[in-house]
Amino acid sequence: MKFAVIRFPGSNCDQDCIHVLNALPGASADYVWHKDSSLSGFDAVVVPGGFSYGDYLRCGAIARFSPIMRAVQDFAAAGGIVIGICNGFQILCESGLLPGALVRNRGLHFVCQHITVRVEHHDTAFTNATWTGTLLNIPIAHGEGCYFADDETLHRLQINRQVLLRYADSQGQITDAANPNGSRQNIAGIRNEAGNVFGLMPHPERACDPLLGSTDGKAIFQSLLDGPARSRDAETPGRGDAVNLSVSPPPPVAPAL
Amino acid sequence: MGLVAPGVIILLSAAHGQEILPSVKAIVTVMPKPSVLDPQGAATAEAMKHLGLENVGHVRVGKSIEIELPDGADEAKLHEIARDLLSNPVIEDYTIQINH
Repeated sequence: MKFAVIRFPGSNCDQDCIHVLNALPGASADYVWHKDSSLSGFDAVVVPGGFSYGDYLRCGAIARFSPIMRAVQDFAAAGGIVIGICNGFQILCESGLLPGALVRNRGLHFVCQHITVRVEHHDTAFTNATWTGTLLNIPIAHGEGCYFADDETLHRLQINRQVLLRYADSQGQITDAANPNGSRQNIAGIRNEAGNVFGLMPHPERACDPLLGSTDGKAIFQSLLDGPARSRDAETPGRGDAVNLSVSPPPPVAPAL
Repeated sequence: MGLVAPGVIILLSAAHGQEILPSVKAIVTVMPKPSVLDPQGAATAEAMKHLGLENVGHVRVGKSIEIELPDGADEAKLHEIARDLLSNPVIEDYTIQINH
């Protein structure tokens, strides 16, 4: 599976993504410059983190109009797998490939720390190497990571099972204290309605080596290699999507990796 | 860059803009939608209270973008750009004021 890692001026997680993907059996990755206009020969696209165009105007606002983004739009429309990490998530939202927007963190601070996210659905192209309820220890590093969408959009995300990751505490509880940036409903990652575009604020590529403190991020990349929505047992009713903060979350389940 | 006749005023815009004869200035004001959390505004309001300005209500922080344009500029295009580039309709509203 050949991954394109898009490079914008100001991208700074592109090398990490290349390093991780090229180390995964069955995967290879190459850079694609933002002024290129073709993605031919690639099976999947990674829009990496960083500060494209210095975050001028809004995060991702200018990168969205780079020539390669038209190719990414076409690639996604044709059902190709696209994953946007951090600034990549912001760019995908600005592009309209994902609903909502990322705004300034609730506490105004740039937040750089390991956090826990809970997998909300395992039967997706991006999480099928995990289980619903799996807790992943992955770092975040952002100043504008507060996910915002209006109530109607949030409702749609919920109905269509598009929320794939939520910030949780170490017990898997979706609490306000575990929300590092004020994201609505603790949302850390969503997919599009068609299920082939995924954006997340945490950096899985920074959690793929024991030297970095966690290898939980591998689950995301491994899922992509395993193919879309590998057949699994039906999800246990009541698991995941515990939006109501008073709802008891499922017990943590060990990652499949 | 061309030679400029004495007495002709040229406005120099930012480094990547270009020299144009001053005729119209459009000011695009972009504000966060009321429904969007504005922590900058909240922090600014707190600072105002700290400095002795009492009874401060909601404070919201947005941005203002000044654009030099020639006379007869395409206003519909400007609106399109304000909507698609200068603001994000999911979280922001914009207004355009054109000063001739």
